[in-house]
Amino acid sequence: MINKSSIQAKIMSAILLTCTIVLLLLCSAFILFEYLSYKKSVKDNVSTLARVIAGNSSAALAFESYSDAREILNGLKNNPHIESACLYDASGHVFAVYPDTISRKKIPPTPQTDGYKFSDNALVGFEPVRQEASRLGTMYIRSNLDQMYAQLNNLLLTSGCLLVGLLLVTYLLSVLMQRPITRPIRAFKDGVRRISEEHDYSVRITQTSQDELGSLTDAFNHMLTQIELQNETIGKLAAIVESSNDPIISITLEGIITSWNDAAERTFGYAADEIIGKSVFNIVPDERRHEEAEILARLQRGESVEHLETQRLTKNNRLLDILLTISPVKDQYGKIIGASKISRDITEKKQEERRKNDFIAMVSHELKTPLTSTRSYVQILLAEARKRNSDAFIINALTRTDVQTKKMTHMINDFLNLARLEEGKLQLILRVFELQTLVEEIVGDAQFLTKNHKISFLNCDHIKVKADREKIGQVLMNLLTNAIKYSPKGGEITVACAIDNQKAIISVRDQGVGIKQADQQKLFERFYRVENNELRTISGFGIGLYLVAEILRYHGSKIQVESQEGFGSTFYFSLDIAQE
Amino acid sequence: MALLLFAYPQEIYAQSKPPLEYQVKAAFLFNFTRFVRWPSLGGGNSPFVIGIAGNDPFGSYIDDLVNGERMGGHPLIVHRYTESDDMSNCNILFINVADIQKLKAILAQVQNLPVLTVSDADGFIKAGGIIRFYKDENHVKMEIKPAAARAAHLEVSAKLLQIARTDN
Repeated sequence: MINKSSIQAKIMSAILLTCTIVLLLLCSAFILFEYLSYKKSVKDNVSTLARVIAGNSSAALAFESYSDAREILNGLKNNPHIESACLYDASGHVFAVYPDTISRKKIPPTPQTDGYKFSDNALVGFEPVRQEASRLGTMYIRSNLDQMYAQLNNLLLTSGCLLVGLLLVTYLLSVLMQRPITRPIRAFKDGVRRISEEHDYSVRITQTSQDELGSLTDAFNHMLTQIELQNETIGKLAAIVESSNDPIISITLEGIITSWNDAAERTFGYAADEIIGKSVFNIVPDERRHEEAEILARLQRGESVEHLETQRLTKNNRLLDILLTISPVKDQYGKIIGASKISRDITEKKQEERRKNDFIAMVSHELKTPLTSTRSYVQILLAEARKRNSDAFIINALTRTDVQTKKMTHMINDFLNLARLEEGKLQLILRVFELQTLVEEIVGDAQFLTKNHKISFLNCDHIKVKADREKIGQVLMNLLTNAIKYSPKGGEITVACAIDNQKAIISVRDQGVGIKQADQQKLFERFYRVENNELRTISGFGIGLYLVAEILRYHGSKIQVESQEGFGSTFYFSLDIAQE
Repeated sequence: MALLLFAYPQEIYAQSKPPLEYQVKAAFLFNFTRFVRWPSLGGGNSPFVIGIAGNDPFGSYIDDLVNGERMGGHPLIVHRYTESDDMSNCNILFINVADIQKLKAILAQVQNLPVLTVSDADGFIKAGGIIRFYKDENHVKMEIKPAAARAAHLEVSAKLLQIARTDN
């Protein structure tokens, strides 16, 4: 109850309570003290009286004067509080009693130890009767405590009145005294209420005192300034988020959506108030659910996810291609409490890419048909020329034409494969073949492309692998053309086979310019070309090694490179050995 | 009576006792030592003498009663006098003589001496005695003549005077 009441009430209660307790303690102590002194005074009075009466009655006891004894005892009449008294003779027998009418039963039959004690709402005493040094008997006296109680009652009444009066005064004083404390607090409270009701953080509270409350007001005003500044910043940030063209949403670690910007509304079709508080799975297509679960797991570990290409489902059940960037959101203690997701709708871009790939595929296909017939005719011409022993120039020209058309076929095949790869349509035709024959074939074709280089192969006999023969041929051809291109000064190029741990390892080593450490990582990316003035003149599209890497990836293998600048490179990969 | 029975049971139990009246009187004689002040009692261990002149009505009862008691530093003793004895050295003198002339002679002998004279005799006060016992409704009472006490240089407690009949 105390906690709910106002500060004013609390201060007044505190003052009143303190005063009440102090006054009560004071009164209690006073009353106790008075009670004890009343008791002592009753005891003193009664014992004095008893001593006088006992002294006077010695002769009456000594000389057995019953009437005198009675008369002396009747002297007690002056004190109305003496209820009874009696004299015992030296042998302890009752000699005379007071008052005359009292029943003997109310008088102790024999004297007890000398002295006085309070018992049974009365003071009871036994006083020795002496003359000179001799003991002649004992006097018994019993006094009620009415007088003491009457005094105590008076005291209680007075104390009570005083207490009530003082508390009244205290109350009035506390009303006056709490004002200087509560007035600024109430002003403060009113100010704070105005701010919280009107959300106007430009209001400042007037400082009315220089005490702790003054400092509090100062601090509060300072805080208001900070809030204003922060609101401004937050407003700016919110505006940025709201005006972003990319959907930005935030979720909890459980996947519950907590914010949803305009772009999200436009892209996914859900209004903010209909989706906030619901699960993020509303916009995740069923086949991507496992992916989202994994993302949430990664977030909980504090990892962020960048540039994830995935798909989202709009309210109208339309599938969108999006590029997702997800970062964990932490609270002020650094604990991860959720995530922000920035999506970029790349549906258009994807479609564009698809159209481009279709175009490349179509062009490649269209180019391939005339090239194939051109090549056939060149080969027929070359065979005829050799048969008729034509002159060397014709044979040479036709041979070169044949090699160039072959090279062009390879290039067109590369583009076709690239387009298929992009669309995910690349298919492997796995079969068992002799590595030796393939290597022989490709090395033979490659040797036709160069006169400066000597291409050899070793240790490839008797190895049978299971792979897509045509595509592995393409891999080898690409690696060899690459080796030729990047060893402009010529030299030896060696294709070597080896068996290691049930795998056939195939390596292509050149003595060319080598590859910088920094470039080795990016070498297998699409359209990547090493930036090097020395190599500017070397032609190429930057798709060769990308295709190599992708084809090997499809085989469950991986292209690897070891190289030192100026000392040549070695590319190698492994293939599964065919089980007999 | 009960007072005596209970106060001194051992001493008197097997004795032949005087009549109740004299038991009370013996106790009264003893009690006078507390309510009367003598001017001087001599030095050292000189005894305080309760004298009996004439017939002894108490027998050994009174001896047992005072046996071992002291008055100040002085041991109490009972002394029995014949008419011819010198009674000036006693402090309390109980005179039990029927003949008034003899009584007067004894009184004359202790005249102006600090001797508390006590008797049952009717004309005792008139004859110059200090305390006389009489009976009232079977109770032993006292009559005191303060003037005679003053003449004997004895100081009688007002308490004693209060319970006694006084004859001025």
